[in-house]
Amino acid sequence: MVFAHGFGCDQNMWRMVAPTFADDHQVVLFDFVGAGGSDLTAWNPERYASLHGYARDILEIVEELDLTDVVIVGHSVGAIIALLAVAQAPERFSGLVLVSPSPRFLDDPPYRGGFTEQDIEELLEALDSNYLGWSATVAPMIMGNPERPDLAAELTNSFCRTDPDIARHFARVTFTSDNRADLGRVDVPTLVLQVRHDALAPVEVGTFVHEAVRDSRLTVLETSGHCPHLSAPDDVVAAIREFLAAAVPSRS
Amino acid sequence: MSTPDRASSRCRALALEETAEDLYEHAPCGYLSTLPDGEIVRINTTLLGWLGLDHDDVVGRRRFEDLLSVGGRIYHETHFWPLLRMQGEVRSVALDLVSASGTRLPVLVNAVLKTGADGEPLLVRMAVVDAHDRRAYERELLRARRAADEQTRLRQRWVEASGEITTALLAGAGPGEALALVAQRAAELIGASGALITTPVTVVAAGEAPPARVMVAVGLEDRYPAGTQLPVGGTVLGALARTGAPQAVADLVLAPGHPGEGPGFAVPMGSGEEASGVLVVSGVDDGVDSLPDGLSIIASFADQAALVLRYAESQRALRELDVVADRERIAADLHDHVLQRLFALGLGLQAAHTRLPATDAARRVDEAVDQIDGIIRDIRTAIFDLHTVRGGGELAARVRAAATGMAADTDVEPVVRVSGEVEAVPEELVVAAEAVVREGVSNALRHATPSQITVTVSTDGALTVEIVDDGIGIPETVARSGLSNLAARARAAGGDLRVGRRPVGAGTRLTWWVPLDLCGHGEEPDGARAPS
Repeated sequence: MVFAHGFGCDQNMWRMVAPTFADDHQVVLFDFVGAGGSDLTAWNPERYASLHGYARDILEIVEELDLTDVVIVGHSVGAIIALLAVAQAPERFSGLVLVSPSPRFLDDPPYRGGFTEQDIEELLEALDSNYLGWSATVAPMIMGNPERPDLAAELTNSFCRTDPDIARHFARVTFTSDNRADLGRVDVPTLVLQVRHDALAPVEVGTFVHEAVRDSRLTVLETSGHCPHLSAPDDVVAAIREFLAAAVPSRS
Repeated sequence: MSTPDRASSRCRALALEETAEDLYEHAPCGYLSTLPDGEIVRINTTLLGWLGLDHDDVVGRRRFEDLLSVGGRIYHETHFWPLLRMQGEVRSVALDLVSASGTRLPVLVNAVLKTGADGEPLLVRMAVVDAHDRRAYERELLRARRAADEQTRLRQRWVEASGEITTALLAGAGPGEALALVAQRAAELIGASGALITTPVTVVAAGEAPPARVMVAVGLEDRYPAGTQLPVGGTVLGALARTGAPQAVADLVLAPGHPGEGPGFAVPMGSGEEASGVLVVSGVDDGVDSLPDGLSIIASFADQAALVLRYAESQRALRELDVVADRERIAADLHDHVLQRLFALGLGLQAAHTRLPATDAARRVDEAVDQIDGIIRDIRTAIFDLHTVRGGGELAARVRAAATGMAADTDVEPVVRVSGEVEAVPEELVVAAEAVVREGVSNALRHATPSQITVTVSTDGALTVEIVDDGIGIPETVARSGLSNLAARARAAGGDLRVGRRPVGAGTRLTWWVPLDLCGHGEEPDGARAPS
């Protein structure tokens, strides 16, 4: 099983879900290039100008480790990236789990993504406000002290930190992408995990995804928030297990 | 240590804070507590006051996210909550609360997650601090940093563009190509819709300035194609000619009566006699004030470009001189050594022939003498050819020969500069240029007693011959008399002849030009341009 995190933080987001599958699966966690502990020098604005660049991250990992029968679990934009990876190399994947997916955050009547351009500008501003505190003052201090990596760990809010320019770029790509047309390109058993009250990906969006992805089932979790793998990890694990048992052909 | 007075005031203060309730409700920061799903279960009076909300509007009815701006809500879902859940606390997260009246309240939020014995999240406690001033300061800081970064990036790009032009010239690009590159890069880097480069502008006398000619145009070629004459008076070019200083204008007018081209710059490329032209950029997207140093950046770019152009030109002239000198040396060698010895050999044979009886051998010697005569004729032709530099050098060599020929018996040695695509100038125009140079130089020498004469021939869009001297001045009637025929020919072809005072110092300047269409797609019919 490969777990793909979404916009904002890194693979730590899966800490309450992924370990429970380690007993009966090979579990692969990673950070997209530009996030978490990834090599920031590998990031470039051209490759990552669209979600396809991030999908290549997944495919490169799958090929490097020569994984087959992969069940890929993606959250939010990571779900859409996972879907793009599956569409591109279906032979590698046997199942797809989309946690709180949204193929299009911006409104495009009659489609309702829930956000406007203006909202995205606000988000970028919020990102800037929160990066100022560390990137301007703290980050140079850390970079100047490579012999003290513990300094980086001591910082609060460290799981969601990355280069501010990369974060802005990823935010823009995430929230302005339109991947509705890609939903029809996958043909593996798919689970859409939808939260009842999600400010970012409302139930209608989950239903839209479910209807567009051919071999999919929809499970609505009776909880709230955009990160059920943190808010209701047990429910997420249970739903994935049920899906694996029912829909994904076992290896042997 | 404390005095009785101090002890009593301490007691009074503690009495005021005796209820934790009051401390909570009226603390100098906002407090609120929510369930893990965000539902607000408690909020203090301070925060309610900031938000302009009543207790009953909020508690049990709203979630923390509902108090945030939309952007803040996304940030909450993607950063704030995940961090809180993973770390158990977050510190100093910048968010915007939205009050009942819709105004934004920039705040910093600290939050802790209270968990039960089994690690289950139970409650979130948050302290909210007003960050109005701090955020304004931070925004200003960010804006300043972005501006500085942008400035650095921009300067870097100008430097790269200068480098590109230098490389192109060193790689053998013609001055026309280089000028087009200068105009194109300037327009791109300044965010302008168009750019053009004109001939240098100068005020001749009493504020009168001869028109400038467009050498290259990028994005403006529809209205001002290469060869277009731009009047200098009353336009931005006039201001530049008067002051010699770079100009930034809100609405750039290139020709009186024409609509403006929007915000733009006009900067000299080099100065004085060394000027290569004027760089004009127009339709600057963000206006001429968008960059604090916009004018100085583009001015130094133009100066640098001019320097590189002049350097390339002098290099080319040097190479050309080398070739000419080489050819002349070979011609002299042929003439002084080979030719003379052949000649002597021929004479010797001829003398021997007269003493020979009329035998077969005598006939063979006679044939050899004929052959030597033929070889001498061939070598003479070769020497003549060597003196006439072919192809690109022809115009330059002939103009140079015309100028130095006229000045042969004087102390003045005319300086001749040739630039542009001289290879493609048709023969009849080369002849005309030679005639102009002969007349112009001879007029200057006869009437102006100059110490220096500069002849400049350029072929960017037009064939232009300029003859400048530093003498006492020539009456215009005199200057024109020998040139009336050439002036008429220039006008017939869409060009002109102008004679006037030199802009600086004493002396006269004569300018003769005809439009060139080197590609053969010009507006003028061939006949109009090519005198027969």
